[in-house]
Amino acid sequence: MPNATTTRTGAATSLEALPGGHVSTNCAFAVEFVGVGRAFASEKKRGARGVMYPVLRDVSLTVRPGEVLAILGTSGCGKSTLLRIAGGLDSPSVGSVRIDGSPVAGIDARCAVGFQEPRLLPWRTVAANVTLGLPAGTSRAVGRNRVAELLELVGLSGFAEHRPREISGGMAQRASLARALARNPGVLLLDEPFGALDALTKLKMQDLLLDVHVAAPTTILLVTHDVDEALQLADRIILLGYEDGTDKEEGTDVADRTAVADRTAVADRVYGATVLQELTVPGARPRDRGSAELAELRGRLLAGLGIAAKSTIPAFPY
Amino acid sequence: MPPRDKLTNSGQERRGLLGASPGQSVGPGAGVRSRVDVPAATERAEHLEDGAKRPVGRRLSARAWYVIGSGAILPIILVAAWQLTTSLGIFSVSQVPSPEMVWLAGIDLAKRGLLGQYVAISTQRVLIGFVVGAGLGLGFGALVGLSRASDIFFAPTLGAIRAVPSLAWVPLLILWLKIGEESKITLIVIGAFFPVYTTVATALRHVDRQLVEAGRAFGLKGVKLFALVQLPAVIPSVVSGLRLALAQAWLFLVAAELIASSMGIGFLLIDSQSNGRVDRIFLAIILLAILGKLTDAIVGVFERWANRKWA
Repeated sequence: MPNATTTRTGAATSLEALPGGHVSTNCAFAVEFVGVGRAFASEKKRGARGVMYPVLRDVSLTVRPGEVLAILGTSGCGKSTLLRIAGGLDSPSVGSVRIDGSPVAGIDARCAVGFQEPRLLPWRTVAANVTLGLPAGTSRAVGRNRVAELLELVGLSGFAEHRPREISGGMAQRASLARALARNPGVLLLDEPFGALDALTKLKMQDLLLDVHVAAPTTILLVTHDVDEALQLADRIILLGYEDGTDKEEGTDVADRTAVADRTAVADRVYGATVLQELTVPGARPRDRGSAELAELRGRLLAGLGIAAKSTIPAFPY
Repeated sequence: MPPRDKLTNSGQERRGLLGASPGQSVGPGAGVRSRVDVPAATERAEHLEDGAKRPVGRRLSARAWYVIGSGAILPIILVAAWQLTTSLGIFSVSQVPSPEMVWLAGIDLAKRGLLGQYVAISTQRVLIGFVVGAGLGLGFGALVGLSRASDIFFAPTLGAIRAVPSLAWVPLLILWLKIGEESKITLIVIGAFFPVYTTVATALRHVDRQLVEAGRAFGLKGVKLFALVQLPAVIPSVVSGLRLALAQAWLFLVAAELIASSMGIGFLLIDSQSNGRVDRIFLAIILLAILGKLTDAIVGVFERWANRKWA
């Protein structure tokens, strides 16, 4: 506990101590999804070639510069796919993505990705891992200062020379965040960055992310399956899911059956997840985790995720 | 309910971290308390572990003299038993010479200047063959392991060449390269190539995709991605491949020298066989054991360093 507290306050003080221009040297970019759809080739053996398994369809969405957008959805609904498309790690089957008006083609230098797992290189120290995130062509001295700043920001200054296996999961995730920030991204893509952390660490990481956003107000796309996390962090939440009658399970079945009968027919039918709801979260951050207004929104979002609303939704653990 | 799920999730994580779950009780208070303790406790524990690495050296099995001394026990027993059997006359001297005779044979060869020459030429052949073979193996292994196209193109052919028994190359190599250094070194190159090629290609195919993707996401590609992510990730396998390759190099050396040579340890073996010099045969075998072990130990030191640095 004392250790954890120090870390937290350390991050806060460092933020205040940071010269304003240093962390936030980049401007935030708008992200536009235009009719994005993505289908994967089915891996079922009997399905043979040519059977496509649609994951996303008709996703059109504009994220304003500096906005924090949470992408909510049940597992396997294509949230991560959407994020990967935005970062150029994957490309859409149809439609296009534009960042700051220019289309994304391949891995985009304007984006930085924070993965669900820390994905640090185990043979490099924490500092050297963060260095990996620096934009190409950063001079050694500038890079070293920037890495030190970022480690301070995420409260890992004392662990710069540790290997990833010598630090805890939460610390590794903070290092991963620092690496993403090192890129000075116009768009920060976070794929369930806190999903694998324990509940308390998660809350602290959420606060840290808010601090980071204040220090460097970049556009953030945050994929999560955690309704409370979305409500706490986001300006706007979109809910991805399957429209009535095109439930994922049903989609697979029909696709398979159709595959045997007639392969081309699959393409004519529309499946895949799309934006079901879009809502703006009221109130300025940091928000009161227990407010009634958020509780109401939480109920609506949970209902959208297929969790039947009971008369009272337990507020624990918040 | 998601909130409940979260509670159990964090409970599982705690169990994973600490090996026990003190806060599994449903009471919210208990759950929160233990969760607060966890990150600090693990961080502290890891510090301790880190700091405790030095005093560990005090353990007996970690002391150099103990390791070397214990490793020498069996060879000493073997030599003693050897001495005993020969002095008791269990075997005739023409079958098993005494350790002393082998020692004297070594002295004799050394005085004629042959021992040093044989050891030097054999070691030279092994080292040249090993370096060239391992280098080629690394190159082809990287190519086949990283690129699907070259995998399809090269792998079947290389697999077939690998299947050819080493001795089958000898007549061809002698015909083409004559009985010089080239033919022997080429054979050793073939021997050292495959262990490295196979381990590197396999290891590169199994590099953590997530790490590679993370590297790509941060703008690495091509040679840089290979140098910064893929190669470091496979270094431990590369080094164990090198170790195998070195053993193979000695194996192929003896094969090459047995068949056609005028000097070297393999030549000493075949020459002594035709002269009936059992003491020299023993000497050659012991030399091979010592040289093989010595070179292997050097790669072993490198391996330990590499594992510390890259794993």
